[in-house]
Amino acid sequence: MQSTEALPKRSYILYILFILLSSLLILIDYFSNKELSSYFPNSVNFEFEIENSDFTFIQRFNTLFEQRAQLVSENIRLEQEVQDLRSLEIVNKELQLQLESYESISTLSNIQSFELLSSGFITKNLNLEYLIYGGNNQQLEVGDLVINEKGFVVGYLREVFYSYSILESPYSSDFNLEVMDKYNNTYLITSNGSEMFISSILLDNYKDDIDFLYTDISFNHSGKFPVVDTRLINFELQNNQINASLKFLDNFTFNTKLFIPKFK
Amino acid sequence: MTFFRNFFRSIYFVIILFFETLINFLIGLDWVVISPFFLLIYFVSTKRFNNHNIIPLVISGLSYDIFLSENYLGVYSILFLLVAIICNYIQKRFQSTNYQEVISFTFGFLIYNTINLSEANFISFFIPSLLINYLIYFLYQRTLGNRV
Repeated sequence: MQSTEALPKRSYILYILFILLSSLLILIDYFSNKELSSYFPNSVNFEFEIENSDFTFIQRFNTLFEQRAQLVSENIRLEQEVQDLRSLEIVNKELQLQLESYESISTLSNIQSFELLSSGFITKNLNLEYLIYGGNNQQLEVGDLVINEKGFVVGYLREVFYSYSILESPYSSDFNLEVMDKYNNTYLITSNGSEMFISSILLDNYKDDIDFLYTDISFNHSGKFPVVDTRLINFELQNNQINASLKFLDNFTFNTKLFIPKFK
Repeated sequence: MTFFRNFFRSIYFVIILFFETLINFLIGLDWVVISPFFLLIYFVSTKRFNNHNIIPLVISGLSYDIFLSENYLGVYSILFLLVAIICNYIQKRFQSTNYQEVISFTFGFLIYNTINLSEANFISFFIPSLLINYLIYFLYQRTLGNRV
């Protein structure tokens, strides 16, 4: 019984000896100002010297990935640029068309004194009444003249809404427009939907070289714009009266440029 | 033969000790530490107690003092040896009680963490660490028991 209890205590002796040995080490380390404990860390260098060549492959891989990333980003940038260019091309075409129409209309002599509101067809109904862009929001009024890109009058506004208006064109049988030639003779233009009829109202000073019939501010029109080129039709005085008819040469399309001149 | 046994066992102990430092560094929690090296000391001092463990414990302590601590050389050697002795002693002393393992484990773990005793949050760090390490030891024992 005594031997079994004494056995653990005896087995600690070596442990205690090593504890004392370790205490001795502490003392030595203390009096040597930690030279003993710092000997190994100072003498062993954990930093391995690695040659540059070992990194060559890694660097190549890095370069490869960097180049790939650059190519991808460049590709995205170019794709975006192509899209921008395409949209710019469309805008450019639209602007060119607009410019051409402005160029042709700018040949009119007094066009500089007008502000031209650009418009276009929206739709037409069964009575051949055309709906066009522009309305009260652009200070348009009933009776305002509508001209095409050549400067010829194509109708006037019959009704004006907020952002659109109804154009009374020669294709409508209700169309009637008073016009004047350069010698101040007055005429009335009416339509049956397929032909325009020109009949004189007052002929005080008729001559053969009248060339054009114009709108005029004396009829509450916004300005003087040509309506009919009389050189193209049979326009002759008979019995001190003029009655002429004119067939429509071309129809409106949705690409027809329209302008509403407003005096500045 | 004894030399090689002590040598390889020392390497094994040092690896476990360094693994403990690494795993706690990776976990990075202030309120808990996982101590596989303490579990090793506890296991060898209660189940396989003999003088062959002295050299590995001393070498482990010296390695820790040299490479991982700022203490004087030999502090951790003494600590590890003390843990081994006290765990074994309490295990033998309270052999008749039901809670001998818990008591010896707690005392051993307390001595193992003596260096941290001065820290303000020692209790909040000690209790969860004790529970987690004891749980690991308990599970390890169960696994070992089933295998045997």
